[in-house]
Amino acid sequence: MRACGHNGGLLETFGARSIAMSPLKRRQERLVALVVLGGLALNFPLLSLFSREAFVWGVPVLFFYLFAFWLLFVVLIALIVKGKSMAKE
Amino acid sequence: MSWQWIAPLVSVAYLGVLFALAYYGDLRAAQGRSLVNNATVYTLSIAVYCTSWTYYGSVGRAAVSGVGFLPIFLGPLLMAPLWWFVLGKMIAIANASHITSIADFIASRYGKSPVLGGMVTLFVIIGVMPYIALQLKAVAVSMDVLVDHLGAGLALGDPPFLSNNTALYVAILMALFAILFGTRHLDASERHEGMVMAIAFESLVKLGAFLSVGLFVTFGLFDGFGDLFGRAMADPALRRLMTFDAVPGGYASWFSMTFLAMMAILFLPRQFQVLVVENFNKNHIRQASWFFPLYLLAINLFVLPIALAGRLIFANGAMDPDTFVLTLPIQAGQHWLALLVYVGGLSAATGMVIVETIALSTMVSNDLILPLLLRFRTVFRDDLSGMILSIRRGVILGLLLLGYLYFRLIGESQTLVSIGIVSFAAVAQFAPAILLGIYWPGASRRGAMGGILIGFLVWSHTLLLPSFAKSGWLAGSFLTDGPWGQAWLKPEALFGLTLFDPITHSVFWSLLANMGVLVFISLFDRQTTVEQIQAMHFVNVFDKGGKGGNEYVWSGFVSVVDLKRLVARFIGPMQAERDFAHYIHKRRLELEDNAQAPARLVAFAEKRLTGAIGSASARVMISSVVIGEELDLRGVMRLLDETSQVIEYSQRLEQKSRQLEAATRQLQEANERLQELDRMKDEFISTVSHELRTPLAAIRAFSEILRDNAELEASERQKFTEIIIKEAERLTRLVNQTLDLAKIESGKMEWHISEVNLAHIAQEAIDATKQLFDNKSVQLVNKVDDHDLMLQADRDKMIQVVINLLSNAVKFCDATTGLVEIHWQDTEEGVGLAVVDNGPGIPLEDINKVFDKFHQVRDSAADFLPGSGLGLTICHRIIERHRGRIWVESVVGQGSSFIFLLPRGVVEG
Repeated sequence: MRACGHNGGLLETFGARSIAMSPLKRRQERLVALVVLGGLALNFPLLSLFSREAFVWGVPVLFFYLFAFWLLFVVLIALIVKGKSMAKE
Repeated sequence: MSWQWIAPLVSVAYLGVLFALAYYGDLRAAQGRSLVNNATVYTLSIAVYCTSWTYYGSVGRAAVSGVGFLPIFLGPLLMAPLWWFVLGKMIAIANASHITSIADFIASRYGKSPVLGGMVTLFVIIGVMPYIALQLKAVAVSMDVLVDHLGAGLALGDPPFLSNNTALYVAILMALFAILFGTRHLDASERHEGMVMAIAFESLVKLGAFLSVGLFVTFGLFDGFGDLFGRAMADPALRRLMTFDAVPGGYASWFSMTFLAMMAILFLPRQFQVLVVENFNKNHIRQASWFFPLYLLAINLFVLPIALAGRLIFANGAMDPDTFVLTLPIQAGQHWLALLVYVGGLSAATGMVIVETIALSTMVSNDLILPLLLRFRTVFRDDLSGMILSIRRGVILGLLLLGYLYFRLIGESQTLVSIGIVSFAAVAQFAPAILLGIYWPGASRRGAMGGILIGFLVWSHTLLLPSFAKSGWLAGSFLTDGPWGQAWLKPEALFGLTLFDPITHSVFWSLLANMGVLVFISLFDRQTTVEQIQAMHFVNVFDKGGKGGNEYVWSGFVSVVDLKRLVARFIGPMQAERDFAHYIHKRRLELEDNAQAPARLVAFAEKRLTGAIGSASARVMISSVVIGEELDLRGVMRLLDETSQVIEYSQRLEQKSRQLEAATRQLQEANERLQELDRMKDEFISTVSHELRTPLAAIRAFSEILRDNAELEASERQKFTEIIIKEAERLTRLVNQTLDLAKIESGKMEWHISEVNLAHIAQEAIDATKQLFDNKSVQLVNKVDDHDLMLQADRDKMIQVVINLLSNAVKFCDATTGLVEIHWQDTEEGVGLAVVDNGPGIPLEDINKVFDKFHQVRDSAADFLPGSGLGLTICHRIIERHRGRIWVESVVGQGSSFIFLLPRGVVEG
């Protein structure tokens, strides 16, 4: 709220605050959220949905889901840590 | 050539390549052209996580539990996003404090406690030893499989002969490698670039080999994934493996294994070594955090296909699933592929063993052996750096032999995976102390100690001892009835908890006890000063200035040379000399050898020693040379308090003294002014009385003559009477001027401002003083003429000013040669007149005093000069009253100019 005194407008205040919150902090929040997502997706009960004797493109559903999610997860990590809005530390 | 010879020869040759690579890496590091300063190399070195357990064991586990092998790799996957800040913080802390092992990290965080460091080291050895044994077993088994089956063709049902000697040779060879590249010299950061290069290379080899066999099995032996999975699905025995039902322990086990792997990727000694200690640049984490999970994905892609293929091909179950990776190519006649697979497995095992033993050797020597040594022998005379290296080499050899022993005694009876997971559960006991330690300053030493101790006791009871019991080391009743027949103590059903599989059960109880004790004790504990300082140091590592934490601790006395000698004992005299010189030079300190070492230098020495012998030992060593006591917190606080008070007082004092100085200066000035005024008053009175006395005396004298000499001639009488009148006039003038001045100064003078022309004023003044000039034959030239110089002023007063200036000028001029000119002035500042004479001029020191009252230039002729000495003063006051300015310019011997300027504007009042 300190920025308020300088900039006046509410919009500018929020703008200034999100910049002041540092991109590192934002990245940290995104990464934690990603871990939570992974923890949920790779455990009961979501995992049990895929425990079926069926195939996706010739691959058992469970195997396919696990490895596909793995790849997606890697891509998400890469996107977050390499995000171009992030200033180099 | 017989396979009997090829396999060992290839092994030795492969290790030779590793040597060469590591040697080159060290060489480049020494040249300052590091090969390790590379995010990809860093990532590949992290892949030391994938041991022979992954390489052979994953397939073995997948063959019986389907996806059950995956949590070991999903854990790191889930942890990787957190690396960016958790690992980043750990690296920053380790760099700031020269921490070189996980035991040192914990000990350092909790007040550099030697006991805690020793405890952690001991537990790490107990916990990780089975893991090392596991690797030896894997190499030995794989070599035997290769030799036996290739030598005699694949004979199904022929149990692999475990050559005890093979494992021993492997152990010794690995020890040699670890010694060569892990303990060549003592370094503050304990970084081993050559070793990292070799490990990164090994990670490529094992990935390449595993992918090769995976591709061969999937597309060579089968017709791609569809064919393989389809045929497996058709097999009723294998159908279960496609779903979650095959995972032993179900979702609870899945969760606990994932959690263990999350902890293991950070806290296994070898992971800590490559992630934290060997980290070259913190920014490498950025790439590693997505590239490493990708590596894991690649190396696990073919685990399930190979496992299912093995189950399909060796349908009779004769082959140990742990060896499928090798036996499948052998079965298919691909001997060279089998050899490649063997080399990949060798890579996985050697990489793990080398890093693990190097990490452990640093830990054992720094946190176990040295503190004990230093406790019993506090005075050393010799260079100890050689001894430390010897200790570490001994430790590496000892560890591998211990691993071999463990393998011989217990390893043969268990599958690869179950051994490994016991180690994971052991290192997870450090997680609460470390993770809470770097985010919660309140975590205390006693809390951490209690937590780790109880965690380990529970772990031993619920996992380690049962594994002994299963191997036949302990009576089976220990498992079935509980120790001493106490059913509630049954290792795999503590307090009757039978909900979970043994691993989950152990993880639950041990971490519950661990964290509970840590938090509970910390909440009711009082930390010592060192603990508090270290806690802040760790938690606030990113704060600027937080790095100075160590510097407040030592308050005693130690000389620079003593300090240097101490450090030299552990890292060698030359290195110590270089380090100190570098430190002193960098900070531009000027320190004699015998000077007292500043606190910063002591802190530096302590850090330097920490790198070589661990934080706890370094602390003990420094305290042995620093004379004086370590301050307790209250002492520090009191000192700080006193200091801040003193600073405040001195600031106030300074302020007061500044005020006092100013007041004094003002007083002095006032005093001088007063003295000056006093002197002027005295002068004034004496001058006035003198000026008054002279005409009075004359009047009195001539009056007496007239009274006493009645017979005086009329002409004489007339002359004397005129003198009396003239003197009386002079007296009147003097009194008038004095009154005028007094009036002006007291502000009672009446002013009549009107439009005047300075030219007229000058003319009138000239007319009024014409007689004076004529009397003395001084020439007066009016250069104003009828120049127009209009302004607002008091006409009479201005005439008085000009008259005063003119009579002053004529006074100082020589008779006959004297010349006075009157000029006009017209500048931006205003208009005015200048009265210029060719008299003697005014000396510089008097030039500012001419307008003072009764000031008369002390000249030889002074006494003879007529005038009151008030004329110029009156001029000055009148001009001042008109907001004008009057000054004098003069050159001694050439004359003076009296100049005044008046503003053109209206003067109010």
